[in-house]
Amino acid sequence: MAGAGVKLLNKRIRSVKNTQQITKAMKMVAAAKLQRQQGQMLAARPYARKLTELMQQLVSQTEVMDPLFEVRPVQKRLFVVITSDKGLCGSYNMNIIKPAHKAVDQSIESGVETAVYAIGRKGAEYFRKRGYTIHASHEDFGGEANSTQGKTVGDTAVGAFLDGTFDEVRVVYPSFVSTMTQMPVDQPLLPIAPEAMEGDTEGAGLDYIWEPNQEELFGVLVPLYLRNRVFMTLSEAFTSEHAARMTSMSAATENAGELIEALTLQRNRERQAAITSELLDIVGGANAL
Amino acid sequence: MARTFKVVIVTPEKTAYEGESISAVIPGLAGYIGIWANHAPLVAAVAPGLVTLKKDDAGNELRMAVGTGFVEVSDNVVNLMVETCETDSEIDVARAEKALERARGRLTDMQAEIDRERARLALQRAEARVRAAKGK
Repeated sequence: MAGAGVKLLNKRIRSVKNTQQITKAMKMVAAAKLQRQQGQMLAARPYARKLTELMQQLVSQTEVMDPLFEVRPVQKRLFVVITSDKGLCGSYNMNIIKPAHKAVDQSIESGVETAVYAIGRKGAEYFRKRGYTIHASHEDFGGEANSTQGKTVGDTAVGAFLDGTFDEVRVVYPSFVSTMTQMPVDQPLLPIAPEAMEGDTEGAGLDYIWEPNQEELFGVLVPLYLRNRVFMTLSEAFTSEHAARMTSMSAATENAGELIEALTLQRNRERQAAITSELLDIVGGANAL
Repeated sequence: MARTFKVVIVTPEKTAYEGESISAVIPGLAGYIGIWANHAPLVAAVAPGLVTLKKDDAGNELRMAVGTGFVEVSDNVVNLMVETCETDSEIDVARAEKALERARGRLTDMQAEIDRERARLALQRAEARVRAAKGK
């Protein structure tokens, strides 16, 4: 008969195996989502690049001033912080929240009224609990970017910028470097900085015909450009999220495997010890006869 | 001089089309714009409508319904950046016609000015889809 310790160990091994199955499934789901989101991000890049190029050309060739380009002395600042809605993705959220928290604190210290625009439940909860001003939050984006979200977030930011609620809007999000690496990035969104649009343009200096005219083109292009930028940012952040989840779930699966191995070893040892002591009992009993 | 030029159509979802063409007709804000090879550099706003690309002298054409966006022409490359792009084979004619009917109905009922603008754009899109699918 196996001892009570063996029974207990068997129970633990079963429970760890169950957990491992769950983490394995989650890893697979994250991998599938990562692939889809990454595909979407890559497919969207040509459009974003062309739009930026056009913007650069228009800015370099015209004196048109759009209110969205207006640089005001910063008295009120908004931080858009993109995190995930769900956990189980390792240090992903903390990697964003930490630099964001620091940036917000610095901004407050320098005498600027600062608010947070939280995208993702984790970030919203974090800043809400600590009593920061939350301008708005979205907790239902579900890790899949679409252009409606880009429009919603972009229009909210633009609206708050135009009516003077905020003089500057910045975005803190995890940029997607590779499946293993995501880098937190803090970049300005509004006002649109013409010099921030890096990269050289081929067509610069060409004598374009503008149809209907530059002012009207600007009016159509600016909102489109901004929405697309927000969309691209979201898309990248969500790609990072799935990547982080996949890596952390894969690590969890591995850890569970190691734990199972260690526990199995221990169980076998105890079982053997029990058998040995029983044998000794029997032999001892036989000798006594 | 080159007789054909390159056409690239990109949407936020994907690169919808890439290929050579002899001529292109693109819906500008103020009316259709015709483009041939060696066109002067141009940037124009695109309204929802029908894009027609002439593929060869035999009269083979490609028709696409596009959404709002821009077109940029330089060095025999036409870059179309539009919200949506559907080729004739992708369009369900019956559905497109129904949408057109709906859009027409809504426009005649419409009172408020802002909604009217939206309905007008919807009508334009619906019309373009039907025309692209039917080849007129």
